[in-house]
Amino acid sequence: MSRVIFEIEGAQPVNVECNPGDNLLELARRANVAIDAPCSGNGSCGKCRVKLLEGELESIKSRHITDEEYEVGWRLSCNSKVIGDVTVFVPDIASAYQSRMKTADLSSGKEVAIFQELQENLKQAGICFENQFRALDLSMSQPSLDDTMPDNERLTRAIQEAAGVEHVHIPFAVMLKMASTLRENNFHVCVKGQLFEDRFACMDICPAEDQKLVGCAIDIGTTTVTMVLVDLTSGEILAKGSSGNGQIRYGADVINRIIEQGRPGGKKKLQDAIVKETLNPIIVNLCKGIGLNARSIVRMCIGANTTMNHLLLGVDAESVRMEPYIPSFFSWEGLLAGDLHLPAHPLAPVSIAPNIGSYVGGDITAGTLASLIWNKDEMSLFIDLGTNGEIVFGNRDFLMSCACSAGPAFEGGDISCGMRATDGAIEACTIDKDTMEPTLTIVGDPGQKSVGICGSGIIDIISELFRCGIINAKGLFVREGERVLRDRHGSGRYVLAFANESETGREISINEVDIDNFIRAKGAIFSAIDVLLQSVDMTVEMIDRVYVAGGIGSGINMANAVNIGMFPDVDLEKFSYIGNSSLTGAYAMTVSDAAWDKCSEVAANITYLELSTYPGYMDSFVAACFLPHTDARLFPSSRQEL
Amino acid sequence: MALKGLDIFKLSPKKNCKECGCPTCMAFCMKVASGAVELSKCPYFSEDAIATLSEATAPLMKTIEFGNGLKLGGETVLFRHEKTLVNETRFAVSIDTEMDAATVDAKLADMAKVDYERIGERMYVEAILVSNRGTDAAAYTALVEKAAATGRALVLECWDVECAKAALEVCKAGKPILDGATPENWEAMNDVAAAAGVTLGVWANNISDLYDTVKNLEAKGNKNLVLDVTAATAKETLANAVNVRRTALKDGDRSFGYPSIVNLTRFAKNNEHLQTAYATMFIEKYGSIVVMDQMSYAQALPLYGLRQNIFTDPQKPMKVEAKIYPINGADENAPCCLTVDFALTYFLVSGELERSNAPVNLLITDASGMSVLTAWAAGKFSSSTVKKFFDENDIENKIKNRTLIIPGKVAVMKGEIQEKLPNWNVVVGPLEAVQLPKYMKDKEYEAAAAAAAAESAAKAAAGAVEEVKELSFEELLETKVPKIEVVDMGVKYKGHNPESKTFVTIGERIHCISPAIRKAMDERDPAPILKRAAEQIAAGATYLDVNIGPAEKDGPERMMWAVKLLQENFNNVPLALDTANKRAIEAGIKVYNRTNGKPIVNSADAGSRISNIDLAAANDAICIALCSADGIAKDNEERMKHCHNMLERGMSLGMASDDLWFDPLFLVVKGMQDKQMDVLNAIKMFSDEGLKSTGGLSNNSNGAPKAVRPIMDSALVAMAMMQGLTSAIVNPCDLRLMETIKSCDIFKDHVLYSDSYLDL
Amino acid sequence: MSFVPKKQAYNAHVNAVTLGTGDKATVIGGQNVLPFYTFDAPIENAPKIGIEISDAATEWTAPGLKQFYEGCTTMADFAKKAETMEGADFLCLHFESADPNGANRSVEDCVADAKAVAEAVSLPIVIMGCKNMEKDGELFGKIAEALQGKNILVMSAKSEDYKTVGASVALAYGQKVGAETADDINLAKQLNIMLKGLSINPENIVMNIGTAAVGYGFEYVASTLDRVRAAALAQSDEDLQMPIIAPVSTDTWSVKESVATAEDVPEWGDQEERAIGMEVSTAAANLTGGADAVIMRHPAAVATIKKFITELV
Repeated sequence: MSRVIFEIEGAQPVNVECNPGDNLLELARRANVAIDAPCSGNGSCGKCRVKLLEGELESIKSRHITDEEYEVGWRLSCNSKVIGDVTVFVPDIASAYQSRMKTADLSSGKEVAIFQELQENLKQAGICFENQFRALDLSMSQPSLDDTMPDNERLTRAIQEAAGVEHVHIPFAVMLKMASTLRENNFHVCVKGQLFEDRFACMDICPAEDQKLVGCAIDIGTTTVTMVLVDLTSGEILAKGSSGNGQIRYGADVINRIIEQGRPGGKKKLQDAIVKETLNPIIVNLCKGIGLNARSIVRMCIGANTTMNHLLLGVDAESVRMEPYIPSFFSWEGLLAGDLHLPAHPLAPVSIAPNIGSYVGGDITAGTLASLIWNKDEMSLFIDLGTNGEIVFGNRDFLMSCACSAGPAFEGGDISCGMRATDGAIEACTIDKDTMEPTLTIVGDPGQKSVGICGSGIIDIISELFRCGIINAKGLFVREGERVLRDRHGSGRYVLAFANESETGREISINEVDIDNFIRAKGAIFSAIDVLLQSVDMTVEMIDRVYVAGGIGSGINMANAVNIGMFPDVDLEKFSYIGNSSLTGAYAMTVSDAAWDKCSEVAANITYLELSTYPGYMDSFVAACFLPHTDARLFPSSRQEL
Repeated sequence: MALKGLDIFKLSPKKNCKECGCPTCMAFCMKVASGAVELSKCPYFSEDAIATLSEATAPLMKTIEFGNGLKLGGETVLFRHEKTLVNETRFAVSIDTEMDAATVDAKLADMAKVDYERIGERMYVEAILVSNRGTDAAAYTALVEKAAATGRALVLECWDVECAKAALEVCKAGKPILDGATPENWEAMNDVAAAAGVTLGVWANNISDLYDTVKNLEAKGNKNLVLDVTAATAKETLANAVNVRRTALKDGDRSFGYPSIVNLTRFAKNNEHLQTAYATMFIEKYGSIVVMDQMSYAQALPLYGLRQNIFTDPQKPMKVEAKIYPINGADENAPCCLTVDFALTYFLVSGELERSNAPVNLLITDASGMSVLTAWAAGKFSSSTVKKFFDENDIENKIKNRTLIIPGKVAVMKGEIQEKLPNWNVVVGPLEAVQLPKYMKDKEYEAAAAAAAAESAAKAAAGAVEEVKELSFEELLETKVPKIEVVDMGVKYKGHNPESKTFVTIGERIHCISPAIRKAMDERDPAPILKRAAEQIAAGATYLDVNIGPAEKDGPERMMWAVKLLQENFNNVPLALDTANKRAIEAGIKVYNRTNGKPIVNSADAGSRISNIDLAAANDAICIALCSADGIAKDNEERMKHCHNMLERGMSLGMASDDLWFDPLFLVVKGMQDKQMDVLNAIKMFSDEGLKSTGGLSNNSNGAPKAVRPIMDSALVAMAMMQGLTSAIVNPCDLRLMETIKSCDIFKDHVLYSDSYLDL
Repeated sequence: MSFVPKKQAYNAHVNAVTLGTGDKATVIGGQNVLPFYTFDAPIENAPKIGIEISDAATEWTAPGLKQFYEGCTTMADFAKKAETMEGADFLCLHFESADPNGANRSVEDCVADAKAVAEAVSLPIVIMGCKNMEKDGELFGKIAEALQGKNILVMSAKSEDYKTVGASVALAYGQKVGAETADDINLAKQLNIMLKGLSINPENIVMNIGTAAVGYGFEYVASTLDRVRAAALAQSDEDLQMPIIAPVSTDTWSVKESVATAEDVPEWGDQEERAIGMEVSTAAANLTGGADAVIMRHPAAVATIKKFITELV
């Protein structure tokens, strides 16, 4: 057996025993060491870099690592084998996505304001924010020689009186602790449960002072998970938290994860990655933070895409990706927190926002609910720019939806210097037309040097390069300059930060392959919008409102997004950013049963378009892979100052 | 004009009841608009909604059937890309009453020659036009009979009412078309056609008269019509054909919504090549039936090929044929590049490969016209589809070069493809087609192919060992294991009573991780191994661990040599056989002497190596059972789950519970200090259930200063023995540790106390 | 009442592009109606026919071709003979043996041939390369320079090399340049936009939107022709109003219908007849779809298509 020690920057080192010949990335995964691997270990993305401190590794030379870096000890963990005792240094970038994500998790004031505004709109739209959960404060007469009623009847009678219903259901869990709880609190207790029209279903019996009824709204994204704890009576947000989705190490996109879950033991591995390694830790931390006993969480509501829903339940997702793309469920009731060993009351009902199609899930129905487009006459477009972009279009009469395979480009997955929106990410940029010099806005504290480029940054850079005529409509470099370099095969790149200016000592640049990749991602977004409009014989001018949701949405400069032909060319004030609409929707559904019913109703009304079988799609996709678009008349406001 | 999904939706019940099989009403309405489903499939449309809709969705152009089910017309669009064209142009050869019998027979014979299959469809001349040039009814009827005998559909070009009547008597069963009505004789001809129940063809000198005649016939209630749009010149015929179809489909005038006949013999008489040109034009420009003088193969091959192309449904994705495309003059020695059959992908990739000037065989596999990523995601581009392609196209023999470059975007398939194509070197190509020229010019694939070849060679070698398996352990012993020499090392192994309750120490020093031992093992040099064994036996080790590393190539013979060397030199000292190579363990056990205790299999776990328990059970050996499944157990609940899982398995295979020594996996204090008590409590759980336990104890002090390690190890072994630890893999030369163990055995009353207990 | 069909003439026009110089110069395009729709509006420039002369023409086996080009050895000989072919409007010099993977003839020899032909004939000249991008890049520049002032058309620039070919052929030496894409209206339009981006005058661009013999995926060519011409005229999209040229012979003479000998497939009959049939049909299909010029090989096919065009325009 040989010993491998992972020295993780900013975390405890991890030591593992393994057989010589084991793959380093696999070993790290088994030992819970998170290494960023968007291409899930196939040597094509170059992101799983580690540095050799002691001992030796047998690594295949990869074109992602320059000779100097190789000398200093940098290796790709996915193509390195352990041949003896070794110590490797895992860079902080890997853990960055785990903790300090710049996600729309209600951390910034702007997000909270948006969140509140949406709740107000929902209320004005006639959704009453009430639910069936009740905490009944009961004080009963003590049993005595001449009052020999058994405990459960005494409790039932008290509940009937307090709740004013005939039937009362006392589950086994309550029966077990009823006698002791009653006596310890000399028959003055609080019973928590659900009040339906004709019956009261008990869930828990607690000391009188524990009246806490808490709900938990969760948005499970492919890359990030955000969550809030909520007081079910007042609706007040008690705590909020977020983190990376533990499944990331099994692949950056849903397809790779479906393949992974198909392997023996895969379903359990992926379910554990989301439940045990992501949801549980966040819930436990949040509860600890506000001194809450997890058992008072009596209601949970989850907004997640179809694949995430399947992986959460451990239901086989293979049929989602294989033609004819049929998921096991769109909407399904009956999940209890106990089924998944979630840290909440075992009988707490867990509602999953209904899916619409194989690649459009509950996060979109929750988002659509929150965006209120179902309640408007205006023709509205709802775009969720997560790891995979989804789109909903329509108004109160009809709603159409489809998923566009924007793919990891927005997460910086495919882009050579791409990264998620964490410290060191270039998130905005302007370029001076004459000097071709860039001015960069970088995430993190002032003075932070650049590490890479995130989704919103890429949009700005490409838009500016196009506006200044440095690249042509196909994304090829047509102007020479000090910052435009060529590799020996003649393909160009634009340098944002030279090696000495960047944080990692590596040059931060964007090359023609990156630009081509991104043009295809934005092309996927716009062609999906184009096809959706075509399917109901409408044109871009008919769009009255555009709602942009999702983590990256907050950072996007809408004018630039239109300039590169990603978003439709409508007046800029028609655009509004609605933050993490999936979380907002999930929150509403947690505290309001009316919101839950409305969401199911809206979901059933949305028509899903499967783009891969839609005849005109490929045609409009090729047309959209041009700056701003092959049909320039669609983008009158996009201009190139030549 | 064709109705739009949204217009239909506005009139729909909007109940989303899904009874029609569509998820929502909108989805159903869009299908109705595209003509994929009938409106009647939804029972909930209101009466007036159905009335307004059905009027609007009634087809603008009639579908006419003639001959044995040949359909004409029914088109909805002027250009195929707008939706699709539905009923193929039919061809007819023309014979007339002025021809002598010989000419007629020759024409019919030649026509019959053209009858072949192309992509699953029969290619033949569907109809015969029998033209009446005089008034001799008998002559015309005879000619019609001869034509009918061929079994082909008939078009009777006859403006003489009597001749028409006579001819129909002999052939109306075959549902011919009577191309006979003109502005002059339409009334009589209408009655004749009605009487025989056949379709009536209408001709006029100009388009306006044609329109009026059609209007008259419709007024008489006859809508079973076709329009003979042929004029004196090609130019005028084209004008007629286009205007008739455009008036119906673009302007919505159903009076011109009928199939057409274009008779090339009237303006391109006996000019074969010119008729080929005009037939080509009228396949695209609205000729439902095209009449020609003859149909030779030189005409049929292009015309039927074009017809098949034009009438394919454009909705299906643009695909190219799945086969080998040699590029830049590639031959059987050029490497192979793999991609999908989506036309745009093919053009892009082949374009870039051409730019690289490197000869390469581009293999296009059938992915039903999807792009690389979409096809992979939907399972249409997978290792099995690639394997199927290789078998069906016999690539193995057609191409000698064994390099297969797969698209960078689906690198994830590399392993699976390599498995299914063992004698190929599967290599991951660039992510983008635009990088292909660089990739091919720099021959990056050669280095990668070499690496892949090395990898599969190693696998093959491992496989080769399998072939060598015919060499049984006995033969291996004879041929490959050097004779053992007994050397007096001045140390005698005191023997071990397996029943004794004293703590079992397993000496860890014979481990191929140390270069000296590995070199000795490689070269079968006994000295260094005997020296280490002697030191450990002298220090009081009960068992010796023998780690020969993965030893994929020579595992069995290496283990047999080590076991015999140690046991024959040290009075059959009991050993723990430590390697991932199962066959090596089996071989070692075959030559193992059990006097001082059963062999130990080091080790099984609850994950990928659980099968080592079966190995121990099969060979009546002790098995160290690591309580983890490919990764450190989170907590003791999980450790116990693994423990019971492995215990059940062992006992179900007939092992005694004492032969399973459970290893909680000692963790490094530096970094896992908070987990140490868990490990100790796990040992207690094992012993509470009467189970034996062991583990790599010295792992705890890993990374600590040299001087501190023995102190930590001793403290830990004491606490562990308190918890019931029954053995451990240790460094016996650590005096302090061994003394602590012996002392604990005293306190646990496993050994009778004597002042010299330390020396026993 | 007399029925008068509606006329559908568009106000947008296909660009009129002149090839060659002097009285033999010829104009393609310029019309504002769909192909041959003279009943909507008169068509001023009928589609033109180009005769393919290949530097590998000596290997042509068809009897009709051998007999027509009897005694010709150099490209100039072939060109002079081709000028006399009934129906010829321009010549197309096809330097297929410049292919490095084939005969790999040097650029200099090809340029010499081109010069010799230019001196020997007066019909407009079109140049076709050997499909090897690097070799064509050199060849096109040198020939465009050598034949300066002859107003030749060089086929063609592709998206991968449009900068070098476009700059040298159209800008440096003022020739007409072909823009070749593969059966995709969007890619065709994008290439035109990028060529215009090099400030090449759109009047100097002729499109080759992709070719195929009938029966070999011709539906993609047919639909692209329909859509490009509809975009140009109905949607007046000036990035698609360039005239279209279709090299027909290179495809039709290499498919099995033309290559299989009578012995291989007896029932198919005479091989040359089949080859002519394929060329006639493919040319007619391209013209019906909207090609403003076709490049052909066999005299019998050329004569047929000339008659076909004359009778229709």
